[in-house]
Amino acid sequence: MSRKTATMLLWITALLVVPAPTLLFGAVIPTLRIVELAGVVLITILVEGAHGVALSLFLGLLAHAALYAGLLWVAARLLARFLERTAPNAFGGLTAGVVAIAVVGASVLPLYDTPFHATDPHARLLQVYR
Amino acid sequence: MIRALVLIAALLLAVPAAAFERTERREPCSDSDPLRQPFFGDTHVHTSLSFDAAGQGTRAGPREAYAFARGTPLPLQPYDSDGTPSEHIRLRRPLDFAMISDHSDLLGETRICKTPGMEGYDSWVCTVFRRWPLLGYALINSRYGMEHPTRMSFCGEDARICLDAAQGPWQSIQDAAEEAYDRTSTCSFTSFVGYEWTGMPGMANIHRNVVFRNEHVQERPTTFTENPTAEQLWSKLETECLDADDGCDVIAIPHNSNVSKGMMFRIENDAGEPIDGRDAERRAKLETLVEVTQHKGDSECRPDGLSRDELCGYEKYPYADMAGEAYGSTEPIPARVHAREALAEGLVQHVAIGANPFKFGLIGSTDTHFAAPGLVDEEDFPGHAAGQVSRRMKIPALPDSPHFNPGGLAVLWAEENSRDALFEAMRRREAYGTSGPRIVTRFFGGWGYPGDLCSASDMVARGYAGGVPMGGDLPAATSTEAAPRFLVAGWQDAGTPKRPGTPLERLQVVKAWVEDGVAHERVYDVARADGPAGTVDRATCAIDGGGAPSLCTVWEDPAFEPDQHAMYYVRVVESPSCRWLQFACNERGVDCDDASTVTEGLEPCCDDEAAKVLQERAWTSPIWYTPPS
Repeated sequence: MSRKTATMLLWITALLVVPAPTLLFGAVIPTLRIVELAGVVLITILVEGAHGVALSLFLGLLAHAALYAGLLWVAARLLARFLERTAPNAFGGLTAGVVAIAVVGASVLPLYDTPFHATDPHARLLQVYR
Repeated sequence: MIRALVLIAALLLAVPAAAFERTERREPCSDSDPLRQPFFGDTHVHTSLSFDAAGQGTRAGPREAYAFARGTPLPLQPYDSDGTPSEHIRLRRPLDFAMISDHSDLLGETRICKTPGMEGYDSWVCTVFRRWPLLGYALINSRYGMEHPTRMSFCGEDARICLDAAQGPWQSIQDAAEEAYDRTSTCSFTSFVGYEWTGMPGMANIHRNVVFRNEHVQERPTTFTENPTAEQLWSKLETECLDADDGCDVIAIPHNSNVSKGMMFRIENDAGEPIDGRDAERRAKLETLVEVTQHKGDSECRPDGLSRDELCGYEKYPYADMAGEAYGSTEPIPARVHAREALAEGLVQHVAIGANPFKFGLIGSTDTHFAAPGLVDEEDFPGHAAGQVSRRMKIPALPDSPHFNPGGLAVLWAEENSRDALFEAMRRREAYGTSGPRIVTRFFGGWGYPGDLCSASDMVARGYAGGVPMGGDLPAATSTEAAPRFLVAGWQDAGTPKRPGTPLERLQVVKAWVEDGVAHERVYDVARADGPAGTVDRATCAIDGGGAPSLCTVWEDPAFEPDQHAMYYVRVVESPSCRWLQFACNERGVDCDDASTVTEGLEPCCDDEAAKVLQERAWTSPIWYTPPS
């Protein structure tokens, strides 16, 4: 596995699982979830127009997503470099292991605060995206 | 024999002049009192029919809300995936009356978005509302908080789809009220049909709760979206109710003037011109009461007001509008947003235009969005479930923002617990509000009350016979030298055997008057409990017993000027007791000296800015004095 591929894999995993605090609604959710919500607001604007807080909400979510995507990209690059240097012969396996641990951990541990859902806080990964 | 006849004649003369008019078919109440009784209730209750309550997970509808008011437990969100609620809540003491006041705006949209198969159910906005209710709340609610709100596209042309869809919940509200209303001679409970007109131009709160006297109501509730000013609401109430000649009668009760940005008590009409006497009389006729306290803060008076009233800091919401806390607004709170300011301005207007537009009495209510009328106990406050700050999609660390409170109660002095008797009490303003406790207070104004009236066994009868009760106009003076005298009495909340009420600290008379066209105000302590002031132990919330179970006095205005317009109302103040925040912090084991106990979300427990102790209170409706012309 090349470092570039590992970086990409780690970054996507981070976007998927790393809980990111937001200034909106007090939510702590993955960046991909923020992107999803920004998309929901964008579609609402396209369907209904930019009434009320719609536009500022969209821009706020977009700003959060951009910030976290950038930070997580830097973190993924650093982590990939660290893994490659630590175990050059098992780099691919180590990267896959990190991804697996992150996904499993986020699936088991209540890392998220998602006040957007209809019935409960949905504090684990699968619940966030369900 | 002759003495007995004289006594009977005297008592007959002493009862209130006009008994109420009965406009509906029902049994008379077996427990009727011509000297009137206090009935405790809540006229501000949202259920799952309200868009914002439904969006916060509230599932109980009007029937469940009325059942709760009568003492039945109510399930509280959040619910788990099996539909099991996180807890059940129950009133310690049932209410005497209640009104479900769901928002007329979005009534149809809420139904459409929740009912598969209805036109609009599959629309994008409804999908957002169901899948991401908090996001939907922010998007949709803010749209209706604009200067000129518009309906969602799925409502169709002229909003017909949504307006028609609103008829179902509107009928449900009426049916639930009818089912809950006790028409037997027991008169155990009274319901009113009503709704909330939710005017929010530019996020300024100009909301009104519309109360119908009986089952004759508007065909459709008036909406802010289609009728975006108070004048347009009044026009609708006039043409569709008061002038309908079908027995319909109605009043509107403004609430949360504290977050109205000065728009609740305007002295300009829709055209931007100063109001005239006809405008003032119209408003005073339709808006006989104002909700002075509720969940989103106290609207009585401003701490930096004319009188520098030390007790005006009570339950102040520190933002200029409803969205202030959510968006961290620092906008200053403008003038004329409090009831006392408006009452004083009303006197000024009376001098200027010949009529008082702000001739209103005072009540309290909750504004619950849990469908839980009368849930006012500080000790068991579960929060409120409305708005982004106060949501309850999960069990919060603390029940609510420290700026909010459980709200209060409306109290009506009426002959019996029936719609006609209670409605006429609202109309004549013989009403008062409490911050929650069931304080009882009487307030009469006249010219000749004797100084020892408090000790008379027929005190109330003589109060009526010698003057007017709260909400009335002082009769003409008996002589040019006279000053008005007021009978002021208060009794502490009797409480329950397990939780007795808090004793009273003092009775106050608040006076406002006009001198040279300028409003003035002053607060008089007219009766105080003997002995040391009461205190409360915050660690246990035990009170030390200071205060009095009742206070009474006959007070004469020492600064009365017969040529000055004036108004007087009473404030009954309890000894200090724990606020809901202190109860909640104690229950969660918070010790501010031990940082490990101050876990996430419990920070307000150790924030000196967040009030932990309060003095519960009651506010009577005013008595007005108008100089002879």
